[in-house]
Amino acid sequence: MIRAATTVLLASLAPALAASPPATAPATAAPIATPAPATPTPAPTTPAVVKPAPGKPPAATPAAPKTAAAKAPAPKAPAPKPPPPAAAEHIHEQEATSVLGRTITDKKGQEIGRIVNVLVDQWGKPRAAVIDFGGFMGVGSRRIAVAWRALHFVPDAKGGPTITLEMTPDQIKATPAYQGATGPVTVAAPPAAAHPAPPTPPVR
Amino acid sequence: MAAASARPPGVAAPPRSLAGLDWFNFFVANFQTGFGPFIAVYLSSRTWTEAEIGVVLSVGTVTAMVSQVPAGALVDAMPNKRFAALLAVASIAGSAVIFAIWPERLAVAIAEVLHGFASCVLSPSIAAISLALVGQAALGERLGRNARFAALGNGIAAAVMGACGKFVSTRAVFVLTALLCVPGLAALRAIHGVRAAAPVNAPVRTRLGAKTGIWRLLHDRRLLVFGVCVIFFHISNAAMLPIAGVQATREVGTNANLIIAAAIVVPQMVVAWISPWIGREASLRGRRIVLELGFAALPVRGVLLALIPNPYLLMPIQALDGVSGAVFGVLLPLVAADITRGTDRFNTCLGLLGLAVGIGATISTTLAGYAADLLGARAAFLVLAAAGMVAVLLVRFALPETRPAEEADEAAEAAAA
Repeated sequence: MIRAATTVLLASLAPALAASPPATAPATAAPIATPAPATPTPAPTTPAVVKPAPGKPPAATPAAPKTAAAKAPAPKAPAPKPPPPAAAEHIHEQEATSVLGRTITDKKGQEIGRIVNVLVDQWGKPRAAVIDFGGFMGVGSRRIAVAWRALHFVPDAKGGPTITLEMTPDQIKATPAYQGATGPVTVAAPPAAAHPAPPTPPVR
Repeated sequence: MAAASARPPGVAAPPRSLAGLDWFNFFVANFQTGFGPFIAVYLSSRTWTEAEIGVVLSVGTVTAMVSQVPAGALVDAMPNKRFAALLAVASIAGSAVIFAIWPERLAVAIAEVLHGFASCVLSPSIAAISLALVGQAALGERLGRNARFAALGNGIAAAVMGACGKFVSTRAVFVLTALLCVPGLAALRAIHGVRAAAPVNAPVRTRLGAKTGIWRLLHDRRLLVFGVCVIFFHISNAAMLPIAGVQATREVGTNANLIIAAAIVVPQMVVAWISPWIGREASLRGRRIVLELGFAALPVRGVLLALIPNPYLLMPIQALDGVSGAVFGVLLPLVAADITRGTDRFNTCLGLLGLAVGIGATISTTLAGYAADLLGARAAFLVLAAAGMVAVLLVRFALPETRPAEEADEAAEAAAA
């Protein structure tokens, strides 16, 4: 059962990132160390269509994950900093959060599953989320991978985003089970018509 | 043999003790099955990664496998079986508390080890208490009753905990499990007469027992054949419901959780219904015929699951799970008691058979997983059904009858009268 797939703790939930002010932060912010280029993370090449990021996030974050503090080894754009002193970046309390374990709802707002893994490409960009569906007390649950863009993040009052999956039950049903990221992964993508955004077809 | 007949036939165990044993079975039933797959759900909700969860679950599985035989031998060595049961229940409740309040890596690993070992102590100690209370002759019926109360407890606990996990929180499930040890221990307190009876059953042949150690046990053909039957039974059984559950989830989506819940609870109700009768039949007609018919429910279920993919028919098909489960639950300790008559190796024998269960279940998950990936769920069900058929054939053609001669005579007399 030990899968090769590894954690990806998300740096940036799309809306939060877009709105994030640079580095000046008031007191409520969670400081995070960003040891920028010290350990780059190229993926060990597996024949996967979608590859998981290797290893744990490099930043040592002993802070308990239950706080709103996000562990975020943000693969931020260029701007190489001098290695030794870690720059302190701040994330506001509701700006970013961990996505592992977050529940997913369908379009009607009904809870349908939980994110258990995130697959990123070689550049660290999220490609797909692995979602655990259904089951009773853990028996009979089913895992599928869905394209990252099929997930819609909407900020809610409680400080986290509500994550909605833009797929019908039939589309979910047609997607084969996720078998781990060591081989090619079939990712369910939103139908092209309903979603004009990036026209990538589902990878087989 | 002297051991069994040494209990004066007219002197039954005090009813209060028997009722205590009933309710002990009821409350601790879900302790033995453990938190199982639910741990994965819980930990993933605590932002654990798949890899971390996999490691912890493996720790639990390996512990449970490795400690079966030592735990059985330990229960054999402990003169006070009630105390063994108490320690086991307290440890399991402790591990549930750790899960609830401290879901960090090391703590959870410790909890898994604790739970793995303690559950290996709990099952044999319940069987040992039962044997000590009622003696060998009435054991079949008593085990049937144990299975009835355990199944009621399991079914109700599964339903309550499922509701608890859905409407309260995943953490609450562990709190509830820990709380169940309170009525469980109260029921255990009501059981008396175990210690007095224990010397009658166990250490009569201590010297012989010392010589007839585990190696002697391993050379017993009845145990070896029955062990292989148990392995094949579980190769067939363990993965059947999980695969059917995944199929149901695929077909029906999120609402499948109700179907799966029913598929778990229905067999328990069947077990509760028929177990005492199975215990009696095993005394009256012998072990083999009951085992054969009960095990036969497995290949039938596998074939039905392969032929009928409709998830709404999963529940009636799962009633067959109750048939084979009841037979297995009653006959496993009964056959172990037959084999180890007059020795003090009953619990060691149960440990060995527990190991066989673990081996079978592990093979089952792997085998069915491969079959389902390569050939689809239908083929996986057929593979599992074939393994079940092997178990049935082994019982039919290789397993000797283990029912003691006197018990058979008594049954014959009763039938004549």
